[in-house]
Amino acid sequence: MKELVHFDVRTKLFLLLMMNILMFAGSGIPYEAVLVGFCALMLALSGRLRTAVKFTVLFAAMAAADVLVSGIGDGFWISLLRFLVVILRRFLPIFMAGSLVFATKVSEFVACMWKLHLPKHLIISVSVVFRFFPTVREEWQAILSSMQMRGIGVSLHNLVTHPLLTVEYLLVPLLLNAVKISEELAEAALCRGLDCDNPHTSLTAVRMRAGDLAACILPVIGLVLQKTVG
Amino acid sequence: MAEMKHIDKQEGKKSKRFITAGIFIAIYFVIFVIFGSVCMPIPVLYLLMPVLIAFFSAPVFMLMVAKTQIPGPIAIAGILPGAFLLAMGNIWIVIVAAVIAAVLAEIIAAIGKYRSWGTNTVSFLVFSQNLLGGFLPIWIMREAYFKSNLDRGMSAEFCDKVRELTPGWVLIAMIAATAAAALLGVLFSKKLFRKHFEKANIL
Repeated sequence: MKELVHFDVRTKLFLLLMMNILMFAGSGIPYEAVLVGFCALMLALSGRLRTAVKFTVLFAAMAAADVLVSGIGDGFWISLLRFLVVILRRFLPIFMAGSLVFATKVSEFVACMWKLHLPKHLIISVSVVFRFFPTVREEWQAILSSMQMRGIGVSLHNLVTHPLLTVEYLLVPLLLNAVKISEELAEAALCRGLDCDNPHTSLTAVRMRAGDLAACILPVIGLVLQKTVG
Repeated sequence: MAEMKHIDKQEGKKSKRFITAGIFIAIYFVIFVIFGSVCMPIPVLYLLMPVLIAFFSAPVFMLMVAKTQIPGPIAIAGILPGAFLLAMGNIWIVIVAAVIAAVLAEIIAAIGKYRSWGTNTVSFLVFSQNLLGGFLPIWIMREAYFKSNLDRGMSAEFCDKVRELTPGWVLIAMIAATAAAALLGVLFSKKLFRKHFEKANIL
């Protein structure tokens, strides 16, 4: 589905924070339904309709289970089951806000960090972390296949008979490569002015729009209502 | 003019070290994600997660500190998994615990100017506790649930039984086991460094 409203990263992070606060501010199925409904709406507007539906159905099933099971009785195992279901169910709004955050593009996230005026060196490190993930996977594959060729591959047999040696064979090349790559990456990035003091330009526009404002204010109103009216 | 050039060069060196740090943090993060996704679904392994991660990430941490030797990377490395868990749907305690462990670890390593094996080891023992916040809800959420349900007619007997399943000493045992695994990990990495990295002139 297409993205109907584009929410800013900061809005999504704020929503995550608010869901954390709201979760402790109240309880009960109607209260949780409002939170889940709001998060589902946010997900749907961001073009993640399927995720929204999945969570809503999960919530409905858990709420139904809670009501049905409590009718059966209050034996130990039924109480335990109910306990687990209720705790998982209360986490749902946070899971939903989290999946909203995870739907963010890396470029947008980095642009947002510059916009928030975080320390330059923090941004450099975190950007490199994102940049390096695909490389770790490539290196990992290469190391695994060369280990296989030398007959010291990662297999159940080798892991059981020489666990520490196998870990050593994996970690040492990975770390040696990391040292080498970090030097190359640093030269390349510094050449392109990574540590330049002027503001970084980005084609990714990071801006708070009307939708962001609404999405930020609604949970706050909800919290105030919950605290005053109950 | 000469002085200005000097400052720029220092700045460049610093940025370079943060790039190096980023790469080691990425490897640490991959180890965290691998063990996290293996351990999460299985209850007993789940409690062992910080222990396993502490052992296997020790060489990464020690090499990162040895290669960077500046304040910052330890704190970033410690807080990032907490932030990730928070976004994954853990409650805020997870990030508070991560920040406390990471900042303490940073301070301890800074006392030895990031060059002493002793303080770096202690720093790593503290650093490894950064995932503990993910487990605290087992105890905190439980009490909140009991409180809200006892007045609604839940049997006190049930509360006691659940408390028995997850006694408080499990938490202390986890802290101790994580610290022990971290220490073993440091000894293991010391061996690795002697055997491979010092020879290859990496350190």
